[in-house]
Amino acid sequence: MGMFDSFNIASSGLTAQRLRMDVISNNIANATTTRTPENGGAYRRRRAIFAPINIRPDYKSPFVPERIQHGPGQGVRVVKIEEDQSPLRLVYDPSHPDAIQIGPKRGYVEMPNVNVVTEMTDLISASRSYEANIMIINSEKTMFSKALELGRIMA
Amino acid sequence: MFEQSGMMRTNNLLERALDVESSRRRVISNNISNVDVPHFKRSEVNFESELARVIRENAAGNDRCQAIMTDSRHIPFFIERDVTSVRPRVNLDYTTSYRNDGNNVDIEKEIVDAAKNQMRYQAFVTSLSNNYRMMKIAMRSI
Repeated sequence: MGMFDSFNIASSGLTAQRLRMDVISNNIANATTTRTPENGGAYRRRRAIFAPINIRPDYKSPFVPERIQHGPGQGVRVVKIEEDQSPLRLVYDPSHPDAIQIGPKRGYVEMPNVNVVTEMTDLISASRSYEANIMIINSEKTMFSKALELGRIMA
Repeated sequence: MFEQSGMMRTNNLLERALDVESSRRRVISNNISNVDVPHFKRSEVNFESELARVIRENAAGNDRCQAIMTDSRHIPFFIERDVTSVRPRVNLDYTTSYRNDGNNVDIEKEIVDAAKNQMRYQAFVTSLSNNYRMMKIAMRSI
């Protein structure tokens, strides 16, 4: 537990929320993309997966109670950015160049499974989390300057 | 005259810490201004961990095992280093890459580092001025 631990934790939160906002804005920008260079299909919505940073070892000692081993933690990090595997939307448009030509879904175009309303609410949540982390940093700065006034010698 | 007394050694260490913090500020502002440059790698200043290691090694004392040196050119295991000889070092962090354009500057980390740096600088200045004020109080009462 150092002097600036809450700073490092809040900064990891800021970085994670900013990455989440980047992913959301990429989803919104590609909401009608029907052609992707990787696999040729429509764009699939992406999600950032968060996990806490924990540099403590993974073994559990049978002699130490659980409550002692858990500490305040080291912050958050983005583990991976995964594609949402829910089914794509199908829109009937035979004249579209990416329409399916053969099979039972003939004439349908596969559109991305991005719901713009969901993305906007995620964006609001990410930006509020960002502000909450900034508030932690500001209050920590105030606490530190108050602590410096403790030892002030009037002369 | 009293350079080796406790108060003066403390003041010397605090002044060198102030130098380290101002050089760190320069490095951090360089990182922040290059946040959009492709293939730019961030740098950082390394001082506190080196100082902690020197203090820990000097305090180990009798726990060390001495190297048997039969020739004067042999290298001993532990060389006693003076605490005042530790210098700050600017390291380039070239192993990580944060974005696709080769840049590895994380803007939030740099800004928070700048805030921490400012608070540490303020703490050192307050501590140093308190030391000098204590000396003034001691001198005044004679």
